[in-house]
Amino acid sequence: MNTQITLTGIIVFIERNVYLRFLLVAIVAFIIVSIGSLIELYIERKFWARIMSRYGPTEVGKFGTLQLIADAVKFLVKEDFSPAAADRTIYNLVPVFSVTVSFASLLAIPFDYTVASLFPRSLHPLTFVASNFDPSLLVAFGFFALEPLIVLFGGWAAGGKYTLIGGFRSAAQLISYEIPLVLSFLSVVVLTQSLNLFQIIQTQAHSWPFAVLAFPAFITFTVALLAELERTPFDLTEADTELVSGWNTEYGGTKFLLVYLSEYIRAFAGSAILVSLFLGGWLGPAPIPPLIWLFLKTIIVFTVLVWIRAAYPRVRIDQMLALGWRILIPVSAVWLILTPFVAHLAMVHGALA
Amino acid sequence: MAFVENIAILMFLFLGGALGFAAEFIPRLFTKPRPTPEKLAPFESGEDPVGTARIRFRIQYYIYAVAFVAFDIVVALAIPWAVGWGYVYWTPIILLLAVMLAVVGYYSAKGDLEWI
Amino acid sequence: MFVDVAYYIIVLATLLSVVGFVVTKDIVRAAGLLLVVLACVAAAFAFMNSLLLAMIQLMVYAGAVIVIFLFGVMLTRREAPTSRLRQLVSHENLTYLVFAALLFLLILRASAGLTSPLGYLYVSPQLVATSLYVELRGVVYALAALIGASSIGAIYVVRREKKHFDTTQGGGGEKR
Repeated sequence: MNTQITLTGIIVFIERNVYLRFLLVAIVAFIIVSIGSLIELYIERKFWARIMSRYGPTEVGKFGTLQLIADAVKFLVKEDFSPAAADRTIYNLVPVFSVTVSFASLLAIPFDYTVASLFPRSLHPLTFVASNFDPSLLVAFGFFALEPLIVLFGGWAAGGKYTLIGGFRSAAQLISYEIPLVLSFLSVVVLTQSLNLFQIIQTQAHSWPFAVLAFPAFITFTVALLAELERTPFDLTEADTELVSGWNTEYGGTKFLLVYLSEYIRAFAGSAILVSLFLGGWLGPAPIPPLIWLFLKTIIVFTVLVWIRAAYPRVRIDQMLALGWRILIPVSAVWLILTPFVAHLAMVHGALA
Repeated sequence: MAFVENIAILMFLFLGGALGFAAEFIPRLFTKPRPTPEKLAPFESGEDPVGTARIRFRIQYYIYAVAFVAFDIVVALAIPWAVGWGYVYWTPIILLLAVMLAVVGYYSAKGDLEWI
Repeated sequence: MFVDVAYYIIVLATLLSVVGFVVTKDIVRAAGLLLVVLACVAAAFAFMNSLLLAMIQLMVYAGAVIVIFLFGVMLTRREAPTSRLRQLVSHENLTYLVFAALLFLLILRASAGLTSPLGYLYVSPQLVATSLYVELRGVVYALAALIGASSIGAIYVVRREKKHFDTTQGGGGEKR
């Protein structure tokens, strides 16, 4: 009884102070994303391994579940060196910048609403919702769009010519697929006339899922997301036989851990945004709470991405750039202009709220 | 900052930055740098590094970057249209997108989007 | 009160980054400081209740213009960064710093009469849509014409340079 009063007292104190409130939201988002990233990494290694008829990690923990924690501890205790020709300030700051930018794009994803809806009514849960603001979708993509800078500075700062080339190719890939990405999600924005991701999910409660209504946009968004996350079939910048590890070859120990972690945080954020935009977000039948639905759908989308990684070969850089510039940009731009007509038709026939 | 989402952005950036700094600089308290010449040289698949860290200028990178800037501005102008298409004029955005597609078509027809 | 202090911190960060950008001898670090300046300008937009413009600033300016700058800069000869403290504290650099400090004090003084340095108009996406596409649509028409003309012109110039470059430098054939 006493602990419950103190817990309520603490929560009321946090709720009154607006800075503490959103710090708590950020911490909760971090916990959810960490759990999600660990599950994702585990699925990546096990599922990919099983598709290739091998076992993946099996030693550490039952069925290899603690392998990731062992890897993280290994990275943390390694020596912190910087190459002789490196620009030390930029070399040290790039991984930190990478993690900050990847983490900031999580603001728009409505995990805080799904968690807050689990609290009892008497504690004003909606004051903890940070993601219900007007350009929330654009905030997520604004921070996604800083990635080419990270790879350029990262490839430069290590001081070798192959990392620099890797950084350039990576940056060329990322900027080529940013325009189809933005044009694809603009089709969904046209359907709902709102940039608020929260409201986009709520509109999907009373209409067909947007993966059906905006099907070409769904396809171009998935392809552009695969390229933006640098996953196969677009992972030529990590091609082992060509550029070792691309721009992050010379990053070791904790720097590599931060870069790798930020890559998986972006994968989680990208999958969550895909789920929210096209597949209905947290909506689903009642017995399962919204938090679990959103999490489950994100993990399923990520599993499909791992499946694509295992099944498809890598494309060459000229094929990839031709796909981005010559096919995806015209398709997504033309579909953007056609979407208002689809929206009108859908509203007339009741398929859109 | 009349709206709370700005404070939320600040908190997310702060937490991400704090975690990044902590993960980066706390292990330095426990490990000591022990440099050797092999560790400090840039990695070139096991051979000795050859030449300076300078690569030949390829115009291709620059073409993609210039095209990206122009089209990013078109896309940034398309964002408000996507929100307000019900009550604004469509001709400006159709003109902008048509110019963008015409330039992409011109590029690819003249062979400037080839990688080589 | 915290919000005002935070705003002045952003202004100070902008001014210091601009001074650093002018002072530094390494051009890639200058690009990094320019990135900090543009990010601070985006933060200033956020303080003025227009997150839409802040994010477009990050996407277009910090995401695209700095990429062009870096593509042009990183492909030239690289020199080791020299940042010795004595070179930094030379009198030209001190002049820049003093000027930046005076500018900061001027901003503080000029905004002392206002209740808050921040704006009260909420720049929503709907407001931007009606401003751009209804009232200022002539400007957008002119912008479309300009983008078209400059893209074609840039392609023409680059193709001429590429032909010249390839014939004088020994040809292509290197696929990197």
